[in-house]
Amino acid sequence: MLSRTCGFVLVLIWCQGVGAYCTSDSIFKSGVENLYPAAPSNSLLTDQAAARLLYQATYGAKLSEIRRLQALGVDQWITEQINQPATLQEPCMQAILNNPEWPLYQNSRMESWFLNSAEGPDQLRQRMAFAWSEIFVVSDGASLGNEVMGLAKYYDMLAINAFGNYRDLLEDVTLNTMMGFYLGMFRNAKADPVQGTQPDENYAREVLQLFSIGLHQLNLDGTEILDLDDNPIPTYDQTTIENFARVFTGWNYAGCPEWNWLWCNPTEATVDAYAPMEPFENYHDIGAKTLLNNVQIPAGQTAYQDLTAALDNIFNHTNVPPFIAKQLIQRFVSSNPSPAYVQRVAEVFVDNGAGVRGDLAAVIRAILTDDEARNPSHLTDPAYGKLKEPLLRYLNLLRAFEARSPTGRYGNWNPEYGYLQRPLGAPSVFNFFTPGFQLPGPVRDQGLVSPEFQITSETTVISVANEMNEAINRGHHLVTHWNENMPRLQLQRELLLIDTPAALLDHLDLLLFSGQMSTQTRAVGMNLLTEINQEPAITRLASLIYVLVLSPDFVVQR
Amino acid sequence: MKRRDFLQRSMCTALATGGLLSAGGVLQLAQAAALNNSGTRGTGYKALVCVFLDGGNDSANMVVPRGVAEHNAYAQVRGDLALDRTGLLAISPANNGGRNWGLHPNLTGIQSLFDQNRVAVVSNVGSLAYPINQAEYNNGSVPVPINLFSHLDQQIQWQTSVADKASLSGWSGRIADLLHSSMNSGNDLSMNISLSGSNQLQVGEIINQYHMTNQGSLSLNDVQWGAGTARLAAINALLNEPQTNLFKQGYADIFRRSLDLDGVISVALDNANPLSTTFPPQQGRNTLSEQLEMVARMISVQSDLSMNRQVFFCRLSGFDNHDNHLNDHAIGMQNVDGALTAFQAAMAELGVEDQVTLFTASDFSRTWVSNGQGSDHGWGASHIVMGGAVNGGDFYGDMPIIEPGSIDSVSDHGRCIPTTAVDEYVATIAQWFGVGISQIPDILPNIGRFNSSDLGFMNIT
Repeated sequence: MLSRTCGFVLVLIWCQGVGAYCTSDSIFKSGVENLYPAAPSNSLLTDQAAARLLYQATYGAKLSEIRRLQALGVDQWITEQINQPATLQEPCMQAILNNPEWPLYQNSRMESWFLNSAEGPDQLRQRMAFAWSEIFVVSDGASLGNEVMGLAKYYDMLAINAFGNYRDLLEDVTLNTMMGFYLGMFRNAKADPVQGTQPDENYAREVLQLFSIGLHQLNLDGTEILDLDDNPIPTYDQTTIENFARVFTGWNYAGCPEWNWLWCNPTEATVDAYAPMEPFENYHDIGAKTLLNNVQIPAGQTAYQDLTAALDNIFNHTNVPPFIAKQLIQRFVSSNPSPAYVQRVAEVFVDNGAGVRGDLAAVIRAILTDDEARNPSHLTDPAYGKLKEPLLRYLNLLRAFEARSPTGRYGNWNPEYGYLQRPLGAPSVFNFFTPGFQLPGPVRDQGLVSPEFQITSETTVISVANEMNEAINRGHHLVTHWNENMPRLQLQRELLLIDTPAALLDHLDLLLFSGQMSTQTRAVGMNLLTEINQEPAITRLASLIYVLVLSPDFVVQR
Repeated sequence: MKRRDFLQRSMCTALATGGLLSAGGVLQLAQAAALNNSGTRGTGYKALVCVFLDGGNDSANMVVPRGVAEHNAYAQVRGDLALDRTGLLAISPANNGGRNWGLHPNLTGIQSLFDQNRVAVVSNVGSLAYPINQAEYNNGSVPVPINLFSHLDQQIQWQTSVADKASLSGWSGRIADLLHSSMNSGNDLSMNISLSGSNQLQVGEIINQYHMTNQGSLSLNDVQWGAGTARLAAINALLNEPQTNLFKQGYADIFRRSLDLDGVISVALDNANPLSTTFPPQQGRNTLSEQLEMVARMISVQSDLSMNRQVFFCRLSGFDNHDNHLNDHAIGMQNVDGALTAFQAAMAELGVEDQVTLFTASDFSRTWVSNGQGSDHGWGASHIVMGGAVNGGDFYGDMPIIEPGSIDSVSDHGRCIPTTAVDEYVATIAQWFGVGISQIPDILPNIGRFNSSDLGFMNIT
């Protein structure tokens, strides 16, 4: 029998320094929010409807945000969120770099991610950045293990571009050195007949397969176009890959005097290792190339001309709107959107109403305001909703209960151990899970998909539950946790309700379930409180929250 | 879920889906298979261990031409990716195609197991829709696997053994549908166990995979006493509630199964005699060495768990070497060698050498041609099969000729055209495992397109 507890006690010494680490402002606040700040009198949104949107669009509902959303209404709240500037990881990484006593490890990047995700005022943008990080995957699990600043800035780039244009995002991803290292476009040279080498095909393949158009031709509603034998039609073949591989040749660090590593590495004064890659024309394949849909680009173009033509060619492929729309819907609303829903969002991707293709602010607004996202009538569909990613469940808790650590830091260094997820730390370019994963049984048999179930198994349900136990039963504000940097749930507000179980469950129903707690789950909770009524109040309360967040009602977002 | 309910639900699923096997057929096949296996050796126990080399193992640098002329041709094609001839570990298969061969320098343990006839090499295996040669590939006259050269698709095709269309189940899942209910009678533990997360190989129409870690099954913390026991009761109550939402029910089913089986497996492992074989420490998390050690421990308690047929899935990442190839591949080979050698020693210690067969699988091999310091997605690959029931010390199938302009490659990049189908490789393994020859087409629907359902590398009795 294996009891799993966190195992990173030994290396805590270096982070005891005083001053600005990646710390929360909230430690300077006193107390917690009022239990129920008054709802604005003119709101059209119920508490439950507001909480439901916040579960789809942010890292979890808080009472203050419910009130904010009610005051603004859905459209204005989305506008406000889109206009929020990005909360960045770079300043925190820079502060650590500036202190000689603080080594910069991926741990710091994790802390910064948790801080920004839990507390950033740009919640929708942070969620969007996370969604992009699961599409445009790079990972510190392999050769990028030492690239802390580079990965932090990559994530910042995703956040900054989150609501920009997809074409710009695609180019920034393509020329980012982290992506360059991860998928081999960095220092990718044209074929060398003397050495007998060919261009690296890795980025060429994955930018098409995973980042833009996918393997099969799609209708605007995301369904596959079938040939006369009912087979899907490939979007490209190996020859296309080899042509795109030749497009993506000739790129290296910015500011290099020479192509070779000896003169072109991060220690060179002129080199900017985090700036977009720059071309060396001598290493670029200048031959003519054939792109998607038989679009030809002529011989003799520069690396950037070829790149522009190729990214335009991808951007204008008819697959991009439904391919991206469907995956974003899956990350925010539901695993199996109706084709009509995908089409409505894809149409906005094609044209935002002002003739612009790829406007991601318009796309996310279309996703969140669609009838299929907002109208509660869809809840009766047995296939509606999605399993929440394990990290989202944890963030839900941190936000609902205003978690903070005594130091203001978020000491979650290895979320992948228990939660199976690590931001910019997936096992491969195929992310933690793929959009098409089918849970065997009724989901598969009905032709549905369930991406998050790819990391849901007999072992991971337990490891997540044990993390929740650590965060709740062993992690509330009244216990002394062994790690003073771990956020503690602030349960003062809920403790006031412990002797009125019905009111407590009403409160938790709104805060954790958007009002969707089933009568059965509620009965189990009430019964639990009765069973343990001799225990201290905090034990009763923590036990209840722990059990509730393991319930099927909580783990499935609808 | 109680076993009877489980079977009942299983049959309903089979009826409802009308999948690969009809409901009546499942029982008949299972009974026939049980009869087939009445004469197996020893206790009747057999296990398969799949070691999936994730990302596409460069098998051209795992089994390498060692003759001077062939090595020169190999080195000319591979450029900076070529291994030095003198470092290769010599092996002497009878079926050598008239050439001398060597193994990657880090495969010392595998070399000695090859010499002891415990390891065979199956040459140039890949996913195929139909047999195909260079001319047919170039003129498009013969269909190729769907989405050829894509990681995910080729991984899935290795695991489904269906290359020309989407398959909802994997080949080991279908074997479990056939054999599990008659062979494994003690509890609800699946025939298919994964030590490395979700995979398509072990997805059945009826029987699904069970996941465990390299430390065993996982248990809930803080539910043993005090308020904890009430918490556990509450969790059980929540999980037992029927759900109309498919995702809620799916989550509850997995959680339910986890709690039920943890009790059984934890007790069995806690009571097992410790293995004296040591598995080498390896760098990383969930290393192949740790996975195979847990497989060995599970095999040591198979009779306590009433398991007569088991398939274990292990996975080692780090083979998608588009860059830094020589170094990273050498690490991969070292990890494979250390873990497999220890595993074989553990099987000898347990006295089940003849009853356990380990085989490798991978997305594809890699291009022979370098992209600088790495290599791209290829196709046909050599694989290792290991165990006492393996007709080892030899090669099976044809080795490609690695030379400029080779007719074994689809292009000048050196993507090797498979000469043996995954289906043939699997059919040979499946027959040893207990699938009757008449049932092979149920497990491998495309087997009829290929030459052989017994490549000869297993001692099928």
